[in-house]
Amino acid sequence: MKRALLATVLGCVMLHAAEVRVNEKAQIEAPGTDVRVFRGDAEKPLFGTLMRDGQGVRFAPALPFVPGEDYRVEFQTKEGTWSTQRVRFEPLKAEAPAVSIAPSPTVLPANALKVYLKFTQPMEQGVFLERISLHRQDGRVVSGAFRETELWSPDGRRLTLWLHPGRQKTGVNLNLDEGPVLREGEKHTLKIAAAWRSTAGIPLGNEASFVITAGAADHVRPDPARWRLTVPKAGAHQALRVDFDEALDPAMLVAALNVHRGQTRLSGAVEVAADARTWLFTPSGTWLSGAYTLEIDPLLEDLAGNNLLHSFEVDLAHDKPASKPARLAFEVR
Amino acid sequence: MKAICLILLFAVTSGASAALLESPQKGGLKIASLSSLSFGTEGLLLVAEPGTASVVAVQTGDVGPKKERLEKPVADIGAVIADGLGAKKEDITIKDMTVNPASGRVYLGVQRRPDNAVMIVTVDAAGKVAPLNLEALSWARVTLPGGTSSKVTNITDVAFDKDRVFATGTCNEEFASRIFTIPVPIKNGATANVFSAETYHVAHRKWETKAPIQSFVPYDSKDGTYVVGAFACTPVAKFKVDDIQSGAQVKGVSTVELGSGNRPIDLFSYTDKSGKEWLVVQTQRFKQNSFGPSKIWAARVSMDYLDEKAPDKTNENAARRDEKQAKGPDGIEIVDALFGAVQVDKLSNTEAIVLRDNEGTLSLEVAALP
Repeated sequence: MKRALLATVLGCVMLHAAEVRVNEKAQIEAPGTDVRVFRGDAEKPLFGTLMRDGQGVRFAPALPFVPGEDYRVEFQTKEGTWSTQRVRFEPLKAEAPAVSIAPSPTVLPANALKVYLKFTQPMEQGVFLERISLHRQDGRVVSGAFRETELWSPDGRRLTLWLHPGRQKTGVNLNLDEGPVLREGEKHTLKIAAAWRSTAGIPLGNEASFVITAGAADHVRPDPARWRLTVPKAGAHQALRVDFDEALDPAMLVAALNVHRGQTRLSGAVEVAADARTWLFTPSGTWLSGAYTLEIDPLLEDLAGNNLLHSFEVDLAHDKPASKPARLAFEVR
Repeated sequence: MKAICLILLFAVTSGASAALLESPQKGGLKIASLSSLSFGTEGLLLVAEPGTASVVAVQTGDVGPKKERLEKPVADIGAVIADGLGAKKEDITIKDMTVNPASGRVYLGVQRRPDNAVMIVTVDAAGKVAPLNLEALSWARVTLPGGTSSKVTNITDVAFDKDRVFATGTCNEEFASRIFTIPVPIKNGATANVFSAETYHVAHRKWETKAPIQSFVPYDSKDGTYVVGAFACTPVAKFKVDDIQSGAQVKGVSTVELGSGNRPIDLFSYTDKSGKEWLVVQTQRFKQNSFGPSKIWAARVSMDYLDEKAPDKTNENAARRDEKQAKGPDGIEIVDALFGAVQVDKLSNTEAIVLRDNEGTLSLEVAALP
C-alpha cells in the first residue's frame, strides 16, 4: 500500500501553474482559505478532511486518490475568489494480470461444484458475474451458471467459482426446471473477459478461455485406500508422492494432508499437481527409517463436494458416515 | 494547526456502551474489507470483515435520541457516494445497509473499484451522505475460527443479541453452514465459538450440512434463544443456541419453504399494529417473478410458524409456499412495498429503510410495512 501511495504522489501531474500541489502524504495543498476536490467533472466533492494553517489549506481524501484519475481542485483565495486547477495522477506502471484455472486440465464430474480461478495479481471485486461466462459446446451461454456469492482468498488472487448448487444438486427445483450447469460428455468453455482489472487498474487485456470437460456424475466419497503412495528411501531428500484415483479439491489439498512420525508433524514443502491428482511432500530434512502416517482431514473433498465422511448429496438421517480412520500408514526403509 | 473535519465525527458519549466492549482499542481502526453491517444497542456497530475473518465492534457514539428518520428519498444515492469516493458510479458496490435503532440514522458499507477500498457512510434525516470517521472511535476485533484445513473467508451476516454476537460464515473451499458466537462484552482478540449447522432442506427433502446461511436474526421464544436463518434454496430454519458447546453440531428445524429458485438477501422481524409478530425475508428469484414488478421481492412470515415444534409442522412437513401462487399458505404474504429493494432494514414497527433498484439507479427510501 505504501509503495502504491508513493507511486501515486510521484506520478502526479499539475495541469496548470502549480499553485496547487500534492504533498508527500498524498494530500492536496492549495493557497487560500478553502478547497474542494472533485473526481474529473463530478458534481459533488470527494469525502475528506480539510486542514487550514497560515499558508493555506490541505485536503486529505477519505480514500486514497486513484492512479490514472484526473481531479478538479477548486480553492478559494484570501480575497474570496474561487480558482480551479486540475491534478492528474498517472497510472501505476504494473504488469497486466494473467489468469489460470485449477484443476487443469479441467475434467470435472457433471455434478461438480466449483473450480478455482488463479490470478497473478489481486483483482477488482464485485464484478465477477459480469466478467465470467460459461458456454455450451454450440456456443450458447449457460444462463445462471454460477452461485452469486463472491469468495476470494485473503490475498485477492484466487476466486472460488461455484457452479450453481441449486442446479447441480439433483432433485432441487432449479435442477429440474433449468437443468444442470454441466452436461455429461460435453465440452464447455469458460470465458474470462479482457476488461477485468487488477486492483492497480490494469485489465487482463485479452479474453481467456478454458475448456471444461464434463464426465460422469460422482456421488462416491474419496477413499484413501484407493490412493497410491510412492515412499522415498531412508536418507533421501525426496518427495513423498500420493497419487489419487480422482482429482481432489486443489485448494483444500494444500493443507488437508500432513505427514507424522509418531506424534510429531513433519515440516516441509507441499506441492499439488495442476490436475489435482497428485500430492507431493518434501520434508525439511531427510527421511529417517521407520513408521510414518499420512493424516488426512476427513473434510477433504473431491470436485463434486463429496468428503471422506459423506457424499455431497446425502440424507444425514439415513447415511452413516465413514468409520475408517482418515490416515494411511507407511514405512520408510 | 486547526483541523476541521468535513467527514462525520460523532460526539462519543464517554462510557455510553462501556459494558459492551472490554478493554477496547482507541482510534486507529482500519477496515480492510466489509461484507455485512449490523447494530447492537447503544450505538454499537458490528462490521463483518471477511478479509481478516473478523467481526469488528465499533462504539459509534451515535446513541440517539431517535430523530434521524429519512425525511425524503435520496435519489441516485449511488452517484452521490461515487462522487464522494472519487469513483464512477459503476465502480461502486453497496455491500450492506443497516439502520441504527438508537437514532434512525442509516449506515451503508461501500466498496470502490478497482482498488477494493471500503468505507462506511452514513445518511442523516436530511439525506446528507457522509463517511463515518473511524479514527477517533473505540473498537474491538474478534477473529472467527476456521476449520482444520481452511479459513473463514466469507461472513454472510452478523447480529447482536443481548449477551452475545452471532455471525454466520463460510469457507472458500467448503460449502457449509457455520454459526459463530462472540461473548459480550466483546474483548479485542477474543476467541469466538463455532458450531456446524445441520438443516433439513424441504425443497429436496434431505438433511444436510452443505448449504450456507445467507442471512439470519436472533429470536427469543418461550422455549429459548434461536438463530433463525435463511438458506440459498430456500428454507427458513431455526437453530436452538442455548447451552451449546463450541464445536458442536446444531440441528436446525426447518419451518418454512418460500419456494425454490429464491436466494435470500436479508431478514428482519417486526410487530404489526395488532401486536402480531412477523419475519420479513427479502429475496431474489432466479427467474422473473410470477407476481410483482421485480425479481427482488419480500415475504412476511408469521412468527407462529417459527414457534412450531411438532413433527407434522416442521422439516419434511414444513409450510411451503407455491411460487406460482400469489397467496398462501395463511400467514405467508408478499410485501408489495419491498419489491426491488436490494438492501432492506427495519426502521420501526411500521417502516423499513430500503435501497431500491429503479432500473439501474439506486434510491434510498422509507417503505411502509403492512
